[in-house]
Amino acid sequence: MTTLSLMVENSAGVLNKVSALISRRGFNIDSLAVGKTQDENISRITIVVSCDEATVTQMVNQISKLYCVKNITVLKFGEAKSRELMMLKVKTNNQNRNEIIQICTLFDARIIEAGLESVMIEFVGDVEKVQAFLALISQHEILEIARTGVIALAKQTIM
Amino acid sequence: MEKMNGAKIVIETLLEQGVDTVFGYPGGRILQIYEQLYKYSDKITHYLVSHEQGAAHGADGYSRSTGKVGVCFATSGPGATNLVTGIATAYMDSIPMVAITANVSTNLIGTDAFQEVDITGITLPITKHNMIVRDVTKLADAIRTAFKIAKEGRKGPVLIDIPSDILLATCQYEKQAPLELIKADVPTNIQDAVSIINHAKKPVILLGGGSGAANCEDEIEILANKLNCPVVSTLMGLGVNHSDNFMGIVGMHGKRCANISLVKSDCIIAIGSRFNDRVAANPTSFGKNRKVIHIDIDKAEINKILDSYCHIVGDAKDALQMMIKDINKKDSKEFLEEIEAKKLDKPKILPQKIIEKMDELNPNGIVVTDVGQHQMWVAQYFKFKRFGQLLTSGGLGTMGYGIGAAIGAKVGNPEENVSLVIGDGCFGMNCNELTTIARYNIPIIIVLMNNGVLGMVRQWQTLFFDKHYSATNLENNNVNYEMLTKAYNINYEEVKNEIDFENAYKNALKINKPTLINCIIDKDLFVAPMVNSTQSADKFILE
Repeated sequence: MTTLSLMVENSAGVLNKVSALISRRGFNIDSLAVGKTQDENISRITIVVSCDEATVTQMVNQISKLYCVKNITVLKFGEAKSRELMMLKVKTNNQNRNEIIQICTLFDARIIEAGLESVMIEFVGDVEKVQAFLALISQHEILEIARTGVIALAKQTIM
Repeated sequence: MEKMNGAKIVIETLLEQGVDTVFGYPGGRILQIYEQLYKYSDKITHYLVSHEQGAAHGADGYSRSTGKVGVCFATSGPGATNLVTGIATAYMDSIPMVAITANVSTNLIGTDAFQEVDITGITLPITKHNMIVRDVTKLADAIRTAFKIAKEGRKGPVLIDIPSDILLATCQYEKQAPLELIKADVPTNIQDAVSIINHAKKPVILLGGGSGAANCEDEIEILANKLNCPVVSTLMGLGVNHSDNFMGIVGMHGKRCANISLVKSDCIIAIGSRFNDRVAANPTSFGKNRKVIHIDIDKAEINKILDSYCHIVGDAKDALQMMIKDINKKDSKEFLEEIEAKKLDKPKILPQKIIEKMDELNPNGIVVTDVGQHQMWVAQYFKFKRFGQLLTSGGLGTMGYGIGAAIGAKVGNPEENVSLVIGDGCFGMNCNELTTIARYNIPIIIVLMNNGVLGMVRQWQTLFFDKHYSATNLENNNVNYEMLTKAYNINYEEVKNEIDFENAYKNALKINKPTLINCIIDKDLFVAPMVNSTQSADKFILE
């Protein structure tokens, strides 16, 4: 799994340019997240892909050609800290409520709304933690799920 | 510093870039620009076409034949969408071009207003860059940047969309010199490439369109002389080299000896070629048993289709200059003789003789083609002397390209002869541009290869579809080309053999008037050789 971190112009149509390129060249992506940065003229697009190295190289080379892309960094597994925010609505009743709370405690997930028939959970984690959490929580009935996609920053270089 | 409206800024910034010719078609939203063209008519000549596609092909032909950036104008909506095929044609062949479209006013954008279309969205995949300018103070810089992007690195078309209220809005304008182009990075891997070439026994130089764009004819000649090896080219690379060792084009309809030289080689030095499927039908076999050195200015072309053994990213001229001093002189005479022996001398068919006759009578004239059988005959039988002498839609294969491009070429090179070789199918596609030829009395010689069928499609139907000639027969059209040309005041000749053609072509060159030579040719002629589209380059279906 590879993460691409793009610094792009913060202007209309830029996301379209990047995503249209990905689709027309037939690259498969796992997730794409976009947001502002500390520089109001620059946005960051984080793309997670699971494809071979040659495809990643081709993708980076093609994306680099877009004039709205100022910089592109390839973050290999282990070179960056990554997080994804996920919100889930899980069906609850008196029998399983405690178990759900336990799973949430175990994974540092927060219950942000609770009702008679469901709870809403906020969960933040890296890819591995997301997978582990989902494996456990999906033993219960998930009613709805919303994910931001992975965002990442490169780790500090150790001298 | 002077305050002026957006439309005037457009014209002033075009003048900054040295533009004196534009191709276009007016309409509601672009009227402000046409108002300025009226006022600036002594500085910029506008060629009114019949259809915006002709304007885009005109700008493309102008660009290919002059080396300058071609410019075309279109209004919003249908005007803009009519440019699309022409922009895509330029994009596929890396032709620098700037297309300027007007759009509905900013407050109407996104409302499905009359003649509104999202042209930046539509042209996203077929432009090197495009932009919509929503602020008049950013207009001049947008146009300056467009020219820079069009010319810099791997060239290509750029589109600027300007809402009509921005053309009317005013701001301060100050004249500027064109932006400086950023030079390509210093090429890497030079020594590796040199060592591979010095160890090679049977090297071949493969020239793509990029070798022409890089203006490195001299360096290629030195390299070819040092190696004394076969030189081949793609359709787009024709004209870059015309030495004795030049074998012709490679690929699906490549010359037999050119294709065989690739297959027999142990090292291919590919310069500005992207190994398109018409060139390297089977990239795996192309790269097998030999070392491919790939020189390209576009990093994204490296290992896109073919995994090269060694790649050099950068300007081909720089790269070759750095390489040639260390390349040992080599005599590949035996290899050359082996290849020469593969040349087949077959009796020539009429269209081939016509092309050779054109070459004999007008060796340095600009030749424009359309797309199909005639295009391949031109590529195979005309010996191009310089890059930019052949104008052809290589990447996109745009039928209907020729007439517009020929107009652009003649307008950009009034001193040169411009001949257009075109099939009757292609002719029918955009013959509306005869109006433009007539309007400006543009003396182009149209060599119509008239076989009454869509020849190339028919060839495939003959070979692969049991002669089921579905929708490729044009004979029932009964077009009277003599009456058609008469309507446009275009000189007309009909020829059925080589001798008549010679006379007609000589006459056309002499009288310097728009001429159509209707060459009646057989409908069952094949373009040969033909290589199986999935196999190695020496697996001929037709010899």
